[in-house]
Amino acid sequence: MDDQNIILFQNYLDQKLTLEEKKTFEQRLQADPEFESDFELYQEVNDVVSHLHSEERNKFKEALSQASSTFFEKPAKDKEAKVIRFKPWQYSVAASIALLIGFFIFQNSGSPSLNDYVFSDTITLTERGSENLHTLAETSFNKGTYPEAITHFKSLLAEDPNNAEYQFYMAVAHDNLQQFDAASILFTNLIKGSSAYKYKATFYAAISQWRQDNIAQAKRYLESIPDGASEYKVARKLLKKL
Amino acid sequence: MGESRPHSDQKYIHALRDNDSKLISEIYEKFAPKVVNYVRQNSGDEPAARDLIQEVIMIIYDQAKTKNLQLTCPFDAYFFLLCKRKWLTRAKKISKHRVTNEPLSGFISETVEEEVMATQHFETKMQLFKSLFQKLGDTCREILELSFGKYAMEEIASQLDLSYAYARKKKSLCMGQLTKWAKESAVYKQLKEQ
Repeated sequence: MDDQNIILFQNYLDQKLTLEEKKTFEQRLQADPEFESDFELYQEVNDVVSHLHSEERNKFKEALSQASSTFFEKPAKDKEAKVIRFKPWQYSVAASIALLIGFFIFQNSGSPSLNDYVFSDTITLTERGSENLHTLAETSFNKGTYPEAITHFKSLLAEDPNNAEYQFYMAVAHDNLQQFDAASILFTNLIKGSSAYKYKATFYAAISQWRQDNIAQAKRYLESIPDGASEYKVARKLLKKL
Repeated sequence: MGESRPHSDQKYIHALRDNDSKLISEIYEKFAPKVVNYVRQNSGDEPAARDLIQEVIMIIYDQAKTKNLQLTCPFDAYFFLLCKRKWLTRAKKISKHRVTNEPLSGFISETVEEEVMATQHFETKMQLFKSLFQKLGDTCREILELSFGKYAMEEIASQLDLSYAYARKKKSLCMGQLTKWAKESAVYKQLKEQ
């Protein structure tokens, strides 16, 4: 984006171009995608930044805090939230879900099923860098859109390369995409380290090996989890079953 | 996002956009109690909920003003999920404890998730532009701030003792600098990928 284009953008927005120039400008928008996206971004930055500094926004902010005071500073019982109760049909839905869950647990009580052990928690990342990059990583991971989650973890790691938490979840994301090599590099790194994720990584590295049918390697990982680690018990149980 | 018809709750978005005090009070009456309850159950108190709600409404307002926000899902679900997500990140920061209490969260529909994501992306972008603005030099900031106000470019030029043509050019280049930084930033690149 060079200065000449920028001045052109502003002249176009301020309607300072001649008819001929305007036509050329619009043709270029159609023909040149980068020119177009630069122009759109220029416009967006302009819109947002000028909005943030506008008098109108200040007025709204004042009105809003007024509304907030009116609501929050009135007698307490007026603003008690209503309790939401189940409707009868919702009870039956809840009951059938409970039944289904029971059924699956019953079904799986025999030989170990990989699905019981794969990582399925909803994650919440510890706050460090920018709030929003975290949210993006967290949401995409929780939604199961792992390629997107990986991109976000990469940028988070670019800022904070030794962060074990990011490395761990990025490994899980790779593992879920069956990108076992990428997962393994990250897991190994964590296993060699001494972070809080050391044994968690060991455990899920084992699960990853199991997923690839390398039972022997999976067992080796499980065996290396020492008594005292929070994964110890479940690792031992799984070792017996495998 | 598809070209779905706006939800009837779009009236709340318009109310914010138009600073309609009656409907803004209605937003509080109808939707704030649930948020207050949620915050209370998750290691927060009423003042915290109050700030949270105000912040989230501000973001919706900002988006409505600059982006023509079209709500395709109920305002209730959209607003509550935005508050909840913001609270979760905040609560983690304060207490370092995990917030585990998820009262009847139920299933989040795809449209709600999409709308909430769009607003979160918008917020990220807005914060990016805001912080880049602070990186600008004094002259740039001054000239831009004046131009956002009620002054015409001619007045700004004479106030800063510049020629009109130079002031206009300078203003464009300052805005251009912001645009360049935004384009190069990792955050922006990521948002674009989605």
